[in-house]
Amino acid sequence: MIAAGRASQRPADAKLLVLDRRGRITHAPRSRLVDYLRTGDVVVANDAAALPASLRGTHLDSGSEIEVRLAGRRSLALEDAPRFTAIVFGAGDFHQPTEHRPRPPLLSTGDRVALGPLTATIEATLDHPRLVTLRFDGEAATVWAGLARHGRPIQYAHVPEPLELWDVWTPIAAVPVAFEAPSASFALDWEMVRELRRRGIELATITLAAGISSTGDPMLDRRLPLDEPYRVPVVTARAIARARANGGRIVAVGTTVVRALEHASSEGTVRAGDGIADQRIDRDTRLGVVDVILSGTHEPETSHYDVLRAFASDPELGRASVVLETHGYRTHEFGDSVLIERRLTAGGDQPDVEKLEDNAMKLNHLNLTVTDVAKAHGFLQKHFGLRDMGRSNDTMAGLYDDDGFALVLMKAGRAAEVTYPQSFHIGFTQPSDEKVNEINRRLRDDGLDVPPPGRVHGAWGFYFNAPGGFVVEVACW
Amino acid sequence: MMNRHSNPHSHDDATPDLDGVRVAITGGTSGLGLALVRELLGRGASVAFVARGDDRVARVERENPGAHGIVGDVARKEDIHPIALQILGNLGGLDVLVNNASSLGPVPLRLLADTECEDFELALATNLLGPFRLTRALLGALAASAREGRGAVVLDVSSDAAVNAYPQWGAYGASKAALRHLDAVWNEELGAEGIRWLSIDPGDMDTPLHALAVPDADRTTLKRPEQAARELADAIAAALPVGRPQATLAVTTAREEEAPS
Repeated sequence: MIAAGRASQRPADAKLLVLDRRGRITHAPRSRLVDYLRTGDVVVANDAAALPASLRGTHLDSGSEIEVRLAGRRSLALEDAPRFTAIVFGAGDFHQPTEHRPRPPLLSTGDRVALGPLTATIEATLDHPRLVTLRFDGEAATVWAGLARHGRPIQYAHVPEPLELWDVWTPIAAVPVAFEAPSASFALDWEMVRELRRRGIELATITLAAGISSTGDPMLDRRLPLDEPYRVPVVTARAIARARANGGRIVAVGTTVVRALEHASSEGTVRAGDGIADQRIDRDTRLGVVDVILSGTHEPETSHYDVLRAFASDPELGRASVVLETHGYRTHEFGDSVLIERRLTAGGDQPDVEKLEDNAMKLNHLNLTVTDVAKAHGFLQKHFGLRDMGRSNDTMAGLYDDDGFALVLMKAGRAAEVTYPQSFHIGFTQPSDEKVNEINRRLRDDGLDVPPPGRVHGAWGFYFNAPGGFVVEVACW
Repeated sequence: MMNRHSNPHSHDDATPDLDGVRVAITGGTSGLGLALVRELLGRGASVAFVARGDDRVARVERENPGAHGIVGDVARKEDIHPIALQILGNLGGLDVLVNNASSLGPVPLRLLADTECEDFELALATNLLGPFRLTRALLGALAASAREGRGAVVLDVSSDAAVNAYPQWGAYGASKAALRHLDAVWNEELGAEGIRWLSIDPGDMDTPLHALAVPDADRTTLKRPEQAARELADAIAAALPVGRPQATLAVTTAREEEAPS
């Protein structure tokens, strides 16, 4: 993907890729996000404001030039403001990619650093040469004044212009505790907030002190995200409970919201109050609260991408990545967005899946020979909601159903006709007679030669010849 | 003329009806702003104030324990986010913003035809763009406060020069008129989010700003800034959600015949 190199939070042409629970992909202008939400949903965003967390100065014990990037704090308490976890770089600035930045001098407990008007002591060195805890001299107010005067937003080489605080504060930024912007919220503006309200979609917030997204050091990057303190307001916990009781979905704006809500939840209930999110969200996470995520486009092998894997399967995300690439989506914090709905069978949605996989046998693959792969492929998607596996061509195409059953269609060699034995067919069992009638009507409306439904072996249904040369049964038993 | 709130029960000892309310005041080291800092502290609010001069900020901070002093100039675009950062950092959020800092424009006051563009620009930067920028930077915090049921108020200090055409008050009057209009639009657009904008004319007060504008005024005829501060604090308390102690206040109509403030 192309790196978004301009600090524009809401460019007019910002794009949104939607990956729904059935694995279907659609594209939309990001400003139309609300069209993919429903009355009764709750949108939860992180209202942390980004600190000017990059501080240049001197390691006084060696006289070396350093850049300190504040990266974590142990709580959201006001009096904890002077103490931070920090990552220290050697000389240079953001114009140089982090992976090429020189190491800092050897840092030891008790060392002193001067950062513009601020001075600080290294309270502890953590188990990496760049990672320390730092205690600023003075009270909280002194630290705030010093940060305001000397600090710069943390930024990376893909944005060449120096960032200002207004570039990185989201429209809903409220509490200055984030070390980098919770950038998924860049997509929000007050027009969208108004539109949400009009449609009966509640906006709620949490505050999570979002840490930094990359250090350029593979060993440190593997430790990301660091522990992040968060706060869930009572009104937010209530809004989530209300939505869940009424069948609304919980839409997380950004990976940080997923981390906070999942950490604060047990058995689907979100607890209000303060906590420290110390867990990883990845493909093994069973989501208990969040149904949908709005996120930036992330590259595989990052901790942000891992969060997306809790929502969609790897093949689905892989397919989405290809589409993002081919459709010119932009990446990084000022880039385009994805909206991913938790997959029907992913994560903790169906608690029995694992048990089933361990102990039970399941027929989950069928290969059909057909006369016209493209026609059969299109027909099954259109009328029976199967979804494309991707990489289809004229001789072979794959489809999934909602349980992950894989139906592969293959071209019937040189033969123009496929001749199945008379009783051979595939079937789609329906929950009601009405549903059978509805499908029958739709097939006829589409010009297919379909007999009317009738009573067959005690079921209400019908058989017909599908495009591609095989028989399909639709019935309610 | 704007509505004015006054508390018929108010007396000299401040009542703690703003207990724990987080307030930021610009122009907080003299005149009405300083009186407001004291009044709001007396009513139990957490207060941050903003002003340009280091020394004055430090002195007011010393004299008013608990108040957070912030050095910055609301007329300067580059200062806005650093100011907002310190307000939110020190208070942990924000319930009430008072845009009080004002510039007269040309001093001594001049006819509009004699007003230098730079002086007009200063009045607009301080009285209109500054409040707009600072409000916008703090909107997320105010909306969060409103969502949580704490209420959110932006009080923009206005003037009767915002509605009446007084000779020599052109730059100031035009900037205050625009600010008043801004407040009306803010209310229209974001009232549903639970944020309330108040535009209040405190009346002619015995303040350094008034002395600059009308050097030969008879100070005995001018309102004490402490009195105006009480009225503004009453208005803030009335605009916050009910349930706060002593928040029921009478509404009176402001005098039409006031001289420019």
